[in-house]
Amino acid sequence: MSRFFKGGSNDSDAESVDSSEGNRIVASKTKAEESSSAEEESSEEESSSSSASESSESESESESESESSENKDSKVPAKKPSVSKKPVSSSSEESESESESDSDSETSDESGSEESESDSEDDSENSESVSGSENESESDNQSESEGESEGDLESETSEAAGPDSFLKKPEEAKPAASRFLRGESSEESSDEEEGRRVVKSAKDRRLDEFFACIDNMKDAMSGNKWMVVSNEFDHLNKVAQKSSEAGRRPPAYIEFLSNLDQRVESSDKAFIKSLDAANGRALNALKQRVRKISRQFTSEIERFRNDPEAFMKPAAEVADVPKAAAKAGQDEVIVGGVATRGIVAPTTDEPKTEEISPSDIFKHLRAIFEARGKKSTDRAEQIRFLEKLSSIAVTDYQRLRVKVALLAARFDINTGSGQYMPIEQWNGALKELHNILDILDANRKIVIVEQVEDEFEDEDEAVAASGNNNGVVQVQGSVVSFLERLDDEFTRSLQMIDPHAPEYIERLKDETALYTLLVRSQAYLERIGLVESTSRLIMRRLERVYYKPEQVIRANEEAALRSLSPEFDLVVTPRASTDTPDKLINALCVYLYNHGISLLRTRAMLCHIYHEALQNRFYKSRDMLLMSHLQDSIHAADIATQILHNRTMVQIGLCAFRNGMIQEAQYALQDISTTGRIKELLGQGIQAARFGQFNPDQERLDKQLVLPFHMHINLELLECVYLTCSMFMEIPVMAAASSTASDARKRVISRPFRRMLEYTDRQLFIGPPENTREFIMQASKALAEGEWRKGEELIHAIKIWNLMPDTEKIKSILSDKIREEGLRTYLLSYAAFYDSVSLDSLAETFDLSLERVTVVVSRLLSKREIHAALDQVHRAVIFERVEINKLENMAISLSEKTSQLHEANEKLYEQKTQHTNPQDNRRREKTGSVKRRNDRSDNRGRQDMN
Amino acid sequence: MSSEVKSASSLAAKYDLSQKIMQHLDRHLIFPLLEFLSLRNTHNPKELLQAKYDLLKDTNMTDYVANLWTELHGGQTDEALANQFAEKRKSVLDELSELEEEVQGILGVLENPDLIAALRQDKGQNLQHLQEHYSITPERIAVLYKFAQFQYNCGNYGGASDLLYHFRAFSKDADLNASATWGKFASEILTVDWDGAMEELGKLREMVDSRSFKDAAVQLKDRTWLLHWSLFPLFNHANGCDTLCDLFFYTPYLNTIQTSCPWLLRYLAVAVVTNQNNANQKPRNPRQSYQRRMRDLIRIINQESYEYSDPITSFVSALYSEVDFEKAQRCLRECEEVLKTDFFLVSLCDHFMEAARKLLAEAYCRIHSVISVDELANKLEMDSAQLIQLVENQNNASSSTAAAASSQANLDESDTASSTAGAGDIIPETETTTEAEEPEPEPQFGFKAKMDGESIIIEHPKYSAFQQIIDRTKSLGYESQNLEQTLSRSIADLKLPSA
Repeated sequence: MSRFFKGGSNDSDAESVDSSEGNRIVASKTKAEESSSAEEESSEEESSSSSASESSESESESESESESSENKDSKVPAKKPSVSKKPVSSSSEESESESESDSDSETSDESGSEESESDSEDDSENSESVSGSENESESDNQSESEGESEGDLESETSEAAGPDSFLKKPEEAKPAASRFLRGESSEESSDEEEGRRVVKSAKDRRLDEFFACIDNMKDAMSGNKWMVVSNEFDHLNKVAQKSSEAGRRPPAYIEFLSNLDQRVESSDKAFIKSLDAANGRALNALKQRVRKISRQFTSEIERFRNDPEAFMKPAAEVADVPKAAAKAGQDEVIVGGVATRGIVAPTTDEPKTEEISPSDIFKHLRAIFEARGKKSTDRAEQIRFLEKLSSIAVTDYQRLRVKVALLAARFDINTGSGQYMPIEQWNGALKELHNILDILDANRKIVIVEQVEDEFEDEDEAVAASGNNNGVVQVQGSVVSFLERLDDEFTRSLQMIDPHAPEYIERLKDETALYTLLVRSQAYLERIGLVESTSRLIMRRLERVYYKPEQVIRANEEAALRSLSPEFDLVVTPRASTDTPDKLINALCVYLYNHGISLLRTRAMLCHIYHEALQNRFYKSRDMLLMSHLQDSIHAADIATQILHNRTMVQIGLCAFRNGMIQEAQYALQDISTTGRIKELLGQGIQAARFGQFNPDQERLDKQLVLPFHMHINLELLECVYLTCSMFMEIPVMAAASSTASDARKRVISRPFRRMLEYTDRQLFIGPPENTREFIMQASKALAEGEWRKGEELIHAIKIWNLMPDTEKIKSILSDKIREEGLRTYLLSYAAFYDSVSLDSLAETFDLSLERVTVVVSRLLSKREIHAALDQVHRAVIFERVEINKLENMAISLSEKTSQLHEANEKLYEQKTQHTNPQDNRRREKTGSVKRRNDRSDNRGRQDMN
Repeated sequence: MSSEVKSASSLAAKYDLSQKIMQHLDRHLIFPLLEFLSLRNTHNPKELLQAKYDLLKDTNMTDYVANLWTELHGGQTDEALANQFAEKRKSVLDELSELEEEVQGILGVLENPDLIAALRQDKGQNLQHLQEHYSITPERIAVLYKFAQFQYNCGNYGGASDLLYHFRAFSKDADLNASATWGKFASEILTVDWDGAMEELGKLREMVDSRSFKDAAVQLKDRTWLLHWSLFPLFNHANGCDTLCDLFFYTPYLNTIQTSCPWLLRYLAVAVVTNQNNANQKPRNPRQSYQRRMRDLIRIINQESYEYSDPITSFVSALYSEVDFEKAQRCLRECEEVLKTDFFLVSLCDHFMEAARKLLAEAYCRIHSVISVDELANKLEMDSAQLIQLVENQNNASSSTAAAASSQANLDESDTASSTAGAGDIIPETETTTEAEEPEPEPQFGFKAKMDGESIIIEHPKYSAFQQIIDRTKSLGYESQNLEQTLSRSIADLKLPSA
């Protein structure tokens, strides 16, 4: 007896099994009470509902209170005729437990002999946990002894309510439908009269509840009390669900659903606006739910609309069948119940796998989905269970559903962000995805899509619904999301594994498998034609290859295609036309340019440029970068994309260097090298905590952005390249600036280089170079002094050049460059000490051809960097002796100072005009006066000169 | 044409731009190019013939096409094809007479002096007037366009041009008007009316620049076409080179050249180099000065060197950015070959060579103090005796006036004097020194030169500290004044709201 109560409460609260213990205690208590005085208890328990038929006023009041204050308006008296059904509705609405216990108490009223049975049920319950739905099925059997009088009464009330409510809202209630409603219930009652009271009463009770609900809703609808309707609708669905589990869904439900659907859909925006806020919201919510529910029963509703009569009739007949079965043997039902119990609670109990039949799989799945995300769920257990299920699954559809669930479960296994997915789980997921693709390839009638019309409980339903989709069965899920997750987990594991440990290499080997899977899924996505997903997937594929050298891409591609069947081919990247890595990257990028969203396009562009730069095509990559105008907008992009942009810039710089374009390389690397945060900007490390501020959250986020080690650009190489380029540009400029004859302004090209050089200069004792930096610094000094051979030696001694492809070529480029720049520097620095220099001796000293020397010298001369002229006959450079007397010298330094002053003024002005607060005003005026003084001194200077 | 015949002038074939240019020309405009090529013998004549045939077979010039066909197939005749030609000829003639009839009425009206007197500035009003008094509807005006197109296809460019003139005067359809302007431009070119063509070029340019294009690519294409078509009038018109520089250096067109047709840099380079004659005339706009243009040209040629280079552009970059005289001279020799086979530049070839040599010598002398006569003569590709005479003449005449010198210079290197100021501008020379030795070949480089046995000695101006100080402080006064002005203005602005 008490079981019912407990079961009911369980159901209504939608409590998990944890509460079963407490419930049991309550149950035993109530049992004790019952045995002493059942009557009393019942009246106590539901003082309102048990006395429903007698008391009316108080009920209606409490109900209206619980529902909404609006119920208290003028409509209340109008409802009085239908008051008898109200208690039911109120109880059902507030909590199911009441209605359940209601029936419970009634049962106890009528037959106390049931007690023993309920006890036995309790026992079984102790052994096995009980969920709500199970209890329901039990309660059906239990309430066999329920009096028919009660059922009659309630069905009558519903009958009475039918026309009543119908009259109230003539605009939408279909007369025919309501007639059928009545007809059905009267049929039921006539059935009951025939003597199958035991079965009927349970059924009827539900039906009564059902109709009460419907009536309530009709009432509320006519009064535009959508909040009420909404609540009632929830309840109705619950009841319908239960009845469908017990036997079949009452056709009235479909009929009502159809009506409600029409009614709700007919309410347009204006109508909703006319309601007050709460009701409007409720209506909107209801609309959503009705749509959802009615989608489940599309076919049935269709059937009903086509021929309401035919639909209702056979339904009533069929309704008898399960009843008969139930009556035939209680034991059987109980056995069935046990089986159900095993199915429904797989998460908590030792699943009785022997009992799982393929047809039950979906129920298990549902249970697992419900348990998902709950704290108490044992994820590992779930996975094991799902693995078992997948071995049981027979049809493709079943297998697919289980696999999708299994994949999701695998990805759920770790929740903490500080760790990566266990590798065996990752491999399992990889295999699962392969299996899924196997199934999808084998059975082309099944597709996985993100937005499925509805999740079907049953394969048959799914297949039935597939008629709408040209016979294609849809399964909810997203292949591309799974892949992205898999890819992310792979990256994360690489981020966390120590890159110098052998595990890293082991892990990296899995990339081929991942890549193969990416390629395979691409074929699937192309087949079902999901452009958005395909572009996401292609982006992933691109990101797996773009940073790799040609040979690696080729090997990767071959490995991937080898593991797939030879006739396997893709639309976007057909085998025939993408046989080289260049073509492959191009095809992938072009697809993304055409189909991707803007972020993907940006990233594709950057990857493309990166690849071109990696292939030493400097001009192409530079032009692409300039044409895309990415540099204008990149600061607005997300950090990962900015990192990609920085990487691309660095790669372009390195590419220029490999091609011997010193200046271009220096310009490309300038920005990133001067920041001093190269590591962070390239996503190859995180910034050290500054000023003791430590933000773990920030650090965690930063860590996520760090690229796996194998993608890193060698920072030492980067620095080496940058400093070498700076050396080639700075040393001659510095030499020119130091020579008095030249009017070259002091111009700093590379600040980091200058700083380092100054630091080296300050050293009292310079030891042999140890690291790259020192090598370059000492080479710079040697070059500045004209000792190009020493400089060359030092530059060549840098070991890191070996990391570049074609080391020898690069070294020879560097040698040439050192000679030329050495010559330039030499001439600029020492011009003052010569009258003339023979070109031949210069050529010999710098180991250059005579032509080359002539060209270099000519260039210097034509740019007026040194004051000299060539003697073509004697093949010599003739320097102009520039002798400056004291006055000239002083005049020059004065002119220099005035121009410095002028520069300082301009700088100051620029600075000050940036902020315009009144306080600056005075200061600026002062500046003005200073400036004027300058002018005066300027004038004075000029007078001096004259 | 794709398979170039290995002939003596393989160099010319290598740098032949006809194919690239033809992509951006009307088929009728291509025809003169093909004619030119067949004269040059750089390509297989049969291929050229085939190309001509392919080019024209869709036009209405049936007789000519038929002739071409027979020529192509060595005189043999094909009955079916002949019939086909005849048939086409007949249909063309039918259409001609039909259109002619229609147009005749309109033209009769349009040439009516009464009407011309009644015409106003406003097109809409004119149309209304026509419609009211002569029942000429816009549809009938459109026939003019159709007939013009037909005439153009028949090769009657003059007629087409006239018709299009009338059409444009009355039609309000912007699209048709635009294409009528293109058509008229082509017609003017093909009737060798360069003045008319220049006028149309101006109109087209205005149209292309002013029209707001939805698609930047369309505008780019239009500009590309315009640039290519403009080669016809600009290299034939008297003042063409200057206009060409203006057009090509205009930023949007420069961008067009850089993005879609870098080969046009050759024409730009030739135009700039040959246009130095006017370098001493101070243009109103500093942008149009020779020095400025040269600087821009060098910059662009260097920028695009990886996309396009030919002997002409390499010459410019070798001379000015690499300062490699050997290379420059090598390139110059190649230039001659290339220019002689270029349809547009063939007439400018000698002129260009002369100007280029002058530039070369100028730059060479600038950084040399002693040059052997033979070497310089070699560079200038002139006789050493001639050169010696030149230098000696100059020495004798060093005190003479500029006028006398220029007449002297005419003996050899024709218009040398004129470029002196230009050279003076490149090198920071004081005006007075330049004036003094303006006269002869060396003076164009801005230096004194004298003979010393087998060599020429060039005297460069001495380095002077004062010069340096002047250079350094020249701008200071002006800049400080500027700064002060902006400062006082911003102070005034700040005071105003507070007061």
